[in-house]
Amino acid sequence: MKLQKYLSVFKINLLESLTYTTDMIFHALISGIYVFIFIKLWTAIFNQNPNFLGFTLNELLWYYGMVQIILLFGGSPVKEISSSIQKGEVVNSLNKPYNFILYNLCESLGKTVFLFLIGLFWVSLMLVFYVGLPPLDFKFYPLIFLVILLGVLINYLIGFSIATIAFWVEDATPYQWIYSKILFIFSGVFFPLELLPLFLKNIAQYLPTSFLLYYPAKLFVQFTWELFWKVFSFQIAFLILFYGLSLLLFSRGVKKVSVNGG
Amino acid sequence: MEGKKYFAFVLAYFKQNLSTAMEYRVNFITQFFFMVLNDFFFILFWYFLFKKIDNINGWGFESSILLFAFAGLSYGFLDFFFGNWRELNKIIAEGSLDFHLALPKNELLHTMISKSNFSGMGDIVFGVCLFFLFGNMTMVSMGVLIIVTATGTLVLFSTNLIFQSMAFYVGNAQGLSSAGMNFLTGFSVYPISIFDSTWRFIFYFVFPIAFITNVPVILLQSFSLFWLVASIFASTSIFLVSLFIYKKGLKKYESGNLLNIRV
Repeated sequence: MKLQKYLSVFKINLLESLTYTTDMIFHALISGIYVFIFIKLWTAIFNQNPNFLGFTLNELLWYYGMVQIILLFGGSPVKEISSSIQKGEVVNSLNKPYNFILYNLCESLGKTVFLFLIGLFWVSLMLVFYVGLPPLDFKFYPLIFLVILLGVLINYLIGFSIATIAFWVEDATPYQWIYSKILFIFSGVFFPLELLPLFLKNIAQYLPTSFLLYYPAKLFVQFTWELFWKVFSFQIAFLILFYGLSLLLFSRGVKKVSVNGG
Repeated sequence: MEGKKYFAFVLAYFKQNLSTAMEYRVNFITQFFFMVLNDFFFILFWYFLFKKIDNINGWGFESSILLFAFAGLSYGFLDFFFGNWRELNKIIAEGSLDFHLALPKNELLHTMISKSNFSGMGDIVFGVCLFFLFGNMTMVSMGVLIIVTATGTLVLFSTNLIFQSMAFYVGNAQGLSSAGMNFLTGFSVYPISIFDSTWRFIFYFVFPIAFITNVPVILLQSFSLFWLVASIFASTSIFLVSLFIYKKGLKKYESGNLLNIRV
């Protein structure tokens, strides 16, 4: 019963998002543009250097395609939540019978799940056409979906924690910007962590950011049970950590909100 | 005479936009600083990649950085001086073009210059720094740099104008314009040598994106009169085509009956 209301929020937002199908198709198309460029770029590199970074061309392109697909799911709540805090709209949610974090999370997942599916279809179609089927056996797909979902949840909670900074400072955007740059280097969004110099790679592989995109995509192309359990256990730990942090920051932050009525 | 008047007109808007930037100095400096840092993070990819390989089909680290430098200059210039160049589709769809159509100056130029994105200055400064660091600049190459930046910027502006003008034909073209902008950005910051002959044909003759960054890099590194003439020809041609599409579309424009107060 308790979870039913969150499921309803998810469903309502999913149905609402279907109104903007054309927008979503264009959004997925944009991902396709970058996948296409990377197909060409990495094909040129692999023609000169086979087995570059310990990947085959098929593995590396499916890695990159998977990253692009994951990016379409969930998204970051920083802009929305911090603006709601800035404008004081957050007070409207305080007396409602739901958990603010879970409510917004389900809203965000509902809004993007269809986009994720369009992206999955479109990017997969391109990759099958250019480099053939992905290397992973079909039976492992549910496990991959699990680590993708955990990564999306952690990303959301990190974003939520950043957004709550707006309770203390006027604008949380610079913090989101710094986070996006950390993601750029340490999440594997643009290139697998194997491309980093060794000392940066050693740091990056234990940062929470690499469990959002890099490890889920890497598992998809180079699955081992050992890696799966490592990724899964770290993700659970980070999930608890960032959920706790989000709760703590939000509960401290709302105490600073003053309601004037009107 | 007419040209002189337009120059004064553009200059007046530039002064106005600059004084706005100085009024919100902290905002200007923040946007400038973030853009420089943003660009720096992008070139890190090339740095890491070329630590592990020598070249990509003949393109080395310096050439790839120069691609980015040209892109920075073109995007920065358009963002700072022609701030509405990415927003035209919205202006058309909302019917806000009325304001500019009712005035005696060219409505396209007027719309473009009536806004400035301060972050563009960050792109410009970063691009110029890259040229001095990686471009082996001489007096001759400085001249080439100015000409090919102008032609590249014109190609970028024109191809984008084609996408933006689709709003005249389909109404809400936000998705299409955004896809177009990503198409331009994505393809212009990578070496053309990674694409096969069909795509190269498209990038030279259909959507001459190659002339935004790739040809300018070739020209800067080894000057050839052929490529210089081709750049001038390609940029002029695509500009005329884009103006034709824009003007055709403008005839379909429907006023939004919108009242605007410009303060």
